[in-house]
Amino acid sequence: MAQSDPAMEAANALKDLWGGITPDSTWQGRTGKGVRVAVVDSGIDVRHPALKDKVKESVEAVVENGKVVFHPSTSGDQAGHGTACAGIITEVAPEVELHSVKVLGPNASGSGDMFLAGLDYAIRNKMQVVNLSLGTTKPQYFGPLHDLLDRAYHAGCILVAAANNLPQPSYPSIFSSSLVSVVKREGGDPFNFGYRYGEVIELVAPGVQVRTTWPGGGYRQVTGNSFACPYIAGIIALIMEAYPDLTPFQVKSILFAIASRNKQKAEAIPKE
Amino acid sequence: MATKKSTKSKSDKKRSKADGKRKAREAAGSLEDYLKSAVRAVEVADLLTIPLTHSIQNLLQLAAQSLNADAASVLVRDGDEGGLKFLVAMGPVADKLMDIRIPPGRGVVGFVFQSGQPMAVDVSQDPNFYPMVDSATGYRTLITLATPLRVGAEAVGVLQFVNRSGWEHLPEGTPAEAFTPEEMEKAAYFADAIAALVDAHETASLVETLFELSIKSAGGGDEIGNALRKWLSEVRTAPEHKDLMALAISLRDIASRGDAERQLCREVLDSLARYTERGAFSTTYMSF
Repeated sequence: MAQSDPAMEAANALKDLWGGITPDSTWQGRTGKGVRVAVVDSGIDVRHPALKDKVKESVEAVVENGKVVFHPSTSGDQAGHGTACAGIITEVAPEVELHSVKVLGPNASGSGDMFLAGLDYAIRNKMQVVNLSLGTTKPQYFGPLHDLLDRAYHAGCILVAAANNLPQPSYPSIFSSSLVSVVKREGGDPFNFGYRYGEVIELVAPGVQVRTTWPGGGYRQVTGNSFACPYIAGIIALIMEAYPDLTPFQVKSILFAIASRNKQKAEAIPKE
Repeated sequence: MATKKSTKSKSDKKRSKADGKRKAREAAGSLEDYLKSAVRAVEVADLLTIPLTHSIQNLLQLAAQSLNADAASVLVRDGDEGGLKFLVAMGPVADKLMDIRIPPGRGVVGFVFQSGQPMAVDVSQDPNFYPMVDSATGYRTLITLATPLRVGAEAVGVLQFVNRSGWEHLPEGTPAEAFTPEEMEKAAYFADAIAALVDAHETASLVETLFELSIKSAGGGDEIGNALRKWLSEVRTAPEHKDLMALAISLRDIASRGDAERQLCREVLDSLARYTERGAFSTTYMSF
């Protein structure tokens, strides 16, 4: 009788441990229905035919008496970035409840303070998923953002952040332990995402020449890490519809398991 | 008593006349100081900003060639609210761009400036796309790549590329060759170099602005202030300005070599001044 290999046994046990996590068990047939997803960005064009009726709430940051406060927003999206992100999220999860938290635009200074206030607003209002295709490189926001991320983590709010497109760290994407950080790759199926365990930016999703919604009712093809991030936010919304009580680390575990499966599948395809 | 009073009054008059002269001399002195400051400010601002602008233009040209772009521009901060203006532009409608202002947070460049995130957009498949800048210039944007200009963690402007060279010769409906992620990285390297120059340019421009503000606050709306402003504006547009600046630089260089050189220089200039008093040389350049 052959002796069993302990390493092989451990590997098989691991396979069994994650064996139940498959696309079928997580997002198959899901639409993200009722999942609250905040887009902290430049606003969303709520009149765009593809986004109409999907934006449950639209607020805008303004400074009053030296403090950042949020008022209902009717100014839309003058930059296009938030609308583009919203289009990608709803492409993956068409029935999510979008919440637009506008922190960039004509009335916003574009400061880190507004960005932090927007994130704080999303956490306080119990968003389940927050799309942060933005970040800051200013070191003074390192500490406050860290605190906010801890609050989000304990509130069960899943933050998805885009990596900086430039060779410079940006916050919060480098806080990889408590959020899902995403970098772009060319083409491909958004569900066939990758996971770079051990890297600062862990998830890899399409972000090159992505066709998405643009203010005014049209569509654009856009490139940037900003647009890889909402694909993962949409996929997480599907998972959250199936399992609404998942914690951030459980969601990351699921993404890791499925990305590993994606990688195995890709490696199994014979190379020409 | 009356005589004494009258004598005193005479001496008072004398004193008052002397005071008046002294005040006039002081006023002339302060005027001279203003002039010196004006010359120095104009000299510094011009000497610093012109070569910097040329360097930015050269780098922009190189960057556009490297990315095979039809047009490219450097936009810088316009005020404190996040607005942008064109500092340098190249391409078919470069001249028209220089008067355009981008309001805060508007369009791709407004977003890139506020967010600090680069972005490439392809609008070639959307015939309805007609942004504000296109409507002002008559140019048609098909693809664009914008990347922030940053000094440390601070955004100082945006570097933008538009369309590929020769795009206008392509048959109608041909998809544009969008900017790639590799080109986005390349643009970031050019942006780093340009940002340092833009930062230096801003500092030089600040010298000029501070001087103008000091004239405004010191001169107020009075005669001296108005005359100085008028003179300064004439100085900037005068063709002789460059020659005089070059002369001023030469004098400064000679003066810095030592007392004997300074003395010699002064004698030569005094002779020149006496000669020009005869009417051989006249200009309105230094006149108010």
